[in-house]
Amino acid sequence: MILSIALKEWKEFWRHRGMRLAAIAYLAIYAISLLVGVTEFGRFERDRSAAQTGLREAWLTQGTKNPHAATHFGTVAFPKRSALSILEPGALPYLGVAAYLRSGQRTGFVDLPARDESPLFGMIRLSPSFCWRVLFPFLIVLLTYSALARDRETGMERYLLAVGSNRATLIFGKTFGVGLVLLGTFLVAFGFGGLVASLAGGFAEEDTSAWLLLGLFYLLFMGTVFFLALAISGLASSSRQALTGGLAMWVLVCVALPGLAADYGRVSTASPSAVELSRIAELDLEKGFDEHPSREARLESTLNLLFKELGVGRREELTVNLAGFNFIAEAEVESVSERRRLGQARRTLMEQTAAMERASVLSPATALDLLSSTLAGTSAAQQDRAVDAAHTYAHGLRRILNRELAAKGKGLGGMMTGDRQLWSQIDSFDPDVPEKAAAAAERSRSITSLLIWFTVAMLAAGTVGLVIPQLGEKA
Amino acid sequence: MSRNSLISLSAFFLLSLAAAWNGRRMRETMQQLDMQVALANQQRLEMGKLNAGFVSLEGRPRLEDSVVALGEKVAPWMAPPTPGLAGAAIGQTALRRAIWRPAGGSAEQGLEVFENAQTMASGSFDLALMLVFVLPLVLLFAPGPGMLLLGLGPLVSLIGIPLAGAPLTSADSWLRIAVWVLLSGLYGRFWLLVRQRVSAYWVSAAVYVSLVLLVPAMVTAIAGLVVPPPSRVKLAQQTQEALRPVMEKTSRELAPFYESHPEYVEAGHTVAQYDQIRLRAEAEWRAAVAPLKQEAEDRAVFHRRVLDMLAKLSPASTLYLALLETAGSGVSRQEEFEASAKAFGQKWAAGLQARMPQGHGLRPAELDQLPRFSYQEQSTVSWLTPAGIGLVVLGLWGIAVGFAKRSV
Repeated sequence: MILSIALKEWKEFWRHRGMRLAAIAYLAIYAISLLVGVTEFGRFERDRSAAQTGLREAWLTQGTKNPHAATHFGTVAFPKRSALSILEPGALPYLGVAAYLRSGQRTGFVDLPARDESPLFGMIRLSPSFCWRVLFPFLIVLLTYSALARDRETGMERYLLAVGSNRATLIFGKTFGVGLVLLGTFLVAFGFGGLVASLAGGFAEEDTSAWLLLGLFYLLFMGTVFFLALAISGLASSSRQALTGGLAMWVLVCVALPGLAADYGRVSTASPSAVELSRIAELDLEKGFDEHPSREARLESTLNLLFKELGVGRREELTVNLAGFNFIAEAEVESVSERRRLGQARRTLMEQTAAMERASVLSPATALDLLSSTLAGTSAAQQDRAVDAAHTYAHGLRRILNRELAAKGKGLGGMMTGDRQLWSQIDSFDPDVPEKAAAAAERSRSITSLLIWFTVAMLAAGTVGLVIPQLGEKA
Repeated sequence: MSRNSLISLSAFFLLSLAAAWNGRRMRETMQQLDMQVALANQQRLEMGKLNAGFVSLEGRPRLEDSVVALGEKVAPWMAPPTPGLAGAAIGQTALRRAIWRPAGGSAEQGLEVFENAQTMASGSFDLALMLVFVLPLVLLFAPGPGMLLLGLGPLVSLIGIPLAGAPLTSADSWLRIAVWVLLSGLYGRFWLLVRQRVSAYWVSAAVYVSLVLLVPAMVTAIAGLVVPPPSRVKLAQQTQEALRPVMEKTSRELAPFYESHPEYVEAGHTVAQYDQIRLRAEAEWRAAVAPLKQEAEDRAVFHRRVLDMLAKLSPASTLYLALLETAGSGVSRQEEFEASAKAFGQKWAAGLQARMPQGHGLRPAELDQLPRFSYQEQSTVSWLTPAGIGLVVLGLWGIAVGFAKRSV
């Protein structure tokens, strides 16, 4: 009996031109979103690879100049992207793509892609993940709204119950019928997406497992929306009411609540503004912080240390380059200050994300958002490692060059020069691809939220279908 | 009015007010930047004054003896204040408020926004999104009298905008609110006409999903594929390669000063010389990089213009962009600010250069005489033009539906 009802639902689906069109339109849009993902990933990787080669050449051929001058010329670092970013761009549009590693500049990644784009991208950004999070749920509502409501509206439900069918059989049949159509569409599209991403970007070691997990979480989310839509269809007295209710649920789950959860995160702890960070950093360097005294005192201390080490009492008697030593000492202090302030800022941002994750209890799309961007290596927190790597690289570069000046620049001072041999002592910057599985494990709250939502939605559909007396029947 | 109608309209109304209240809180958070910029500028000036005019006990040069170096230390940050109606249309306001500073005779973005990319990527919940996404659903599916439904968007806007923290003290604000109300009214009228023409629910849903989701999504996809924004990675590479020969030369000239450290000036050279050489070097760096930056900027502007045009293919994206412009969280305000920041950068450089022939560093009193940046709110024309185009396009959409035959 269940199979008969499921088959009837299948047939109805294929006979309904509108439904067929909706499914085909969805798959077409999804294919275009994959094309967008592949193009953007390819463009970024091509540019990054060419830029790294070009920048290495520019670094090595910068000519003969003072080693400290070379720290001002510096270089530029770029983060790496995972192939899974084709499927889930996550926070990438709002993360900088270049870190300018020059003396006197902070080493964060700047140049956000979103700044060059139209603000329309703030309303909609077509990507495979957008298709899963926003469009597919809409399709679910369209395919599900009439599943139970229409039979009640037309009197078919009463008829079927009168001829001996029980409610459980009806509900399971409908669930399997509509559910299998949706599951089939999902599996085909998701599998195709994975295939395209692996061919275009080349899956790394943990990408396949991350992709499978991604599919599982998407499935939980889709299941949640499906069961909620089914519950609404079971509660509604007419198809129109079921569609209105389903769309209201879609607006809440896919549009309103994710934005609200993000805003809750943003206002729960005020972001440390770049101006504020810069102001404090300037104050740190000028007036000192923690065990580091003021700039004047630090310079004095370096001088006294050199006097003591070299056993002299006047600047003119120093056998090393004082400026070089001061550059080394100041770079150390700048690095400590930057790391300290960056650490404080990061803690604030982490608190914001944690608040957003707490809000995922009310918004399954937020839980999915956090999980999928983490699994794709495109979450904001995952770029922190690249920032740290860039910081360490820049600091090492300055240290090597300033040491050269300090040790060998006494006689020539600023006129002392380094050449290609010195520049080649500094390796290229080569960050790792963001880790995924370990990072996703930290999103346990999101996983729990998704599981709870799925279970509650399934129970709601079951309860509405099997236990609660139908509103329509009463009427 | 039926019970269902009452429930639908009340739910929309309450959700809109919640969105407005959320926008208000977001706007208050954003306003902290205004205060932080003022505080940072004050601190820079005070530290500059403390260091200016000192003479080293040992008679050695100090960094602050250089007009250029001290000028750099006290150069003010510039950021446009939070737009009055930002709470109603948050959009990418945080992104559009880049922090600039005078540099090399002009101005450049000095600091990157330090916002949580994760929350930014998830979008916001504001009145503009309620109107764009939810109002059509109410108009298409909620039962209710036509006139009441037609007035729903304007009514919610009139209550929501003040609730979102918009100041009602200036004529500019009132004009913006009036345009916003008109936009929401025209958008509502369009969807009511659709409702009158289409009677099958699933067709209404298909029209909704096409015009509110699919067309805007396709527009962003096509624009991204055909006229993509500039590659900042490529620009970084080109910039570095363009700077290489120029810096090779300027580094030789600046060698006696360790590139940017006049405090370590070597015998036979003076800090005043450093100022001259450094200014010349900065001009050469700027000349090498400016065409590349301009090309990237032109490309970004072209990308945005194309998208603005394509966005008119959907009333939803037309409304969204027009609302952002009306609220001041769109691109036009940012562009005007950037132009004024660059103009100030020139004024700032001229102010410093005028003091260089004195042959000594800046005195504390002179720091007070340096130009101050004062933000001029964007001109009415600059936001009213895109908003007005939005009004016309929404009107045309309404006319087009009015001519359409009644469907299934």
